[in-house]
Amino acid sequence: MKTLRTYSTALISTIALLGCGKGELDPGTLTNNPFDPDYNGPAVFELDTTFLEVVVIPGATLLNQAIVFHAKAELFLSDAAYSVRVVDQMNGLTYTLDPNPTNTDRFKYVRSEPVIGAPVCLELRLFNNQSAARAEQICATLQ
Amino acid sequence: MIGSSGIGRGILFAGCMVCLALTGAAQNTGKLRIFCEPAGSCSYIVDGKHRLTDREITLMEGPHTFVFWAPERRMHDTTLVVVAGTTTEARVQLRYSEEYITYRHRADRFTRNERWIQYGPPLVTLGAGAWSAMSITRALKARKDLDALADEYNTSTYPAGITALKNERIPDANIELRQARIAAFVSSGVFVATGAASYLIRRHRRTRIAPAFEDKEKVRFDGLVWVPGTHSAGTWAMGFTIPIR
Repeated sequence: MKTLRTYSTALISTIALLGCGKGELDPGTLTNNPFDPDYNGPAVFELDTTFLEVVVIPGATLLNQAIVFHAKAELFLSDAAYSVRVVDQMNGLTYTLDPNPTNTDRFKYVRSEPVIGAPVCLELRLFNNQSAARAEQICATLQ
Repeated sequence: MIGSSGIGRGILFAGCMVCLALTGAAQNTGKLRIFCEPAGSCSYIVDGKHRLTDREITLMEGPHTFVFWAPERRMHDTTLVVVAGTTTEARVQLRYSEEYITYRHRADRFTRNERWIQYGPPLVTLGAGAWSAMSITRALKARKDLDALADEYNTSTYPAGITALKNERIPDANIELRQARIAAFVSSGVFVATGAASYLIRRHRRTRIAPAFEDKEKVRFDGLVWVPGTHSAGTWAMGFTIPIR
């Protein structure tokens, strides 16, 4: 009888806990992870600078346009290693960039045809395991 | 007054024999050996006067009326013919009385019901309790799984994995939680209901009275003749039936 009473008390408590406890999880409310394709928080990427980069190779000197940007690591919900998928909207080419320097959140995109005085826009996505997150766009104008 | 039943019966029987011998000295006697089933508990009344249990008796030749009876059995009236100078064997098998058969049915049903009442409801309650415990465990696990998926969303850096999480795994876990919760509520309700029913049945059981057997055939049989008892006493019982129809 005592066991029955103990069990009944535990049962009522558990039922109350189940009834009053957290309910189902609405996937629509999960939008705060920057790696989520449905992420709707603040912009993850921020342009740092763009400049002309002189590359000297034997027999020639090349001028490239470097676009430097970074990902806002403070938006990440946990520590993350990742790449960035870049689509150069001027020529439609796609590249995958790793941090530069490594183990930072800084990236450098180098295009071989500098555009002076006009914005070069890049579509950027966080990229991991062959899948990409939300697309953002940054534009850089070389003066 | 007659002493113990054995002595009483002996004196009575001897007296009868003396009387018979005096009144009908010319008549011959014969023996009657009685095999009555159930053996050991059979009684009989000879010629409506003498109640005996002896297996072998000596009687005057000619027909004699016998009424046989045993506990739980029907009385059996018959006439046995004693042949002078010989031992005649008589076999009597007494059938169960209607009252005893009815009583047996009722007693069996009572025992069966008693067994079910004793073990059935607690077992059902126990089963419902186990089901309820399993359902609650399942619901708690489903809740825990959902919390783990929420944590996984926060720590995942795999976009395709996050999409699968939101489109498949979380909805599946929601369905599981919903079903587990319903099962937990239903099973707990069943458990409480069976527990209450079990308690009420248990209370009701205390008030149940086992059927008792009243051997009316014995009353009728006892009423046929004076019965010597112990301590020099005896009883004279009488039974009668009023047909209502």
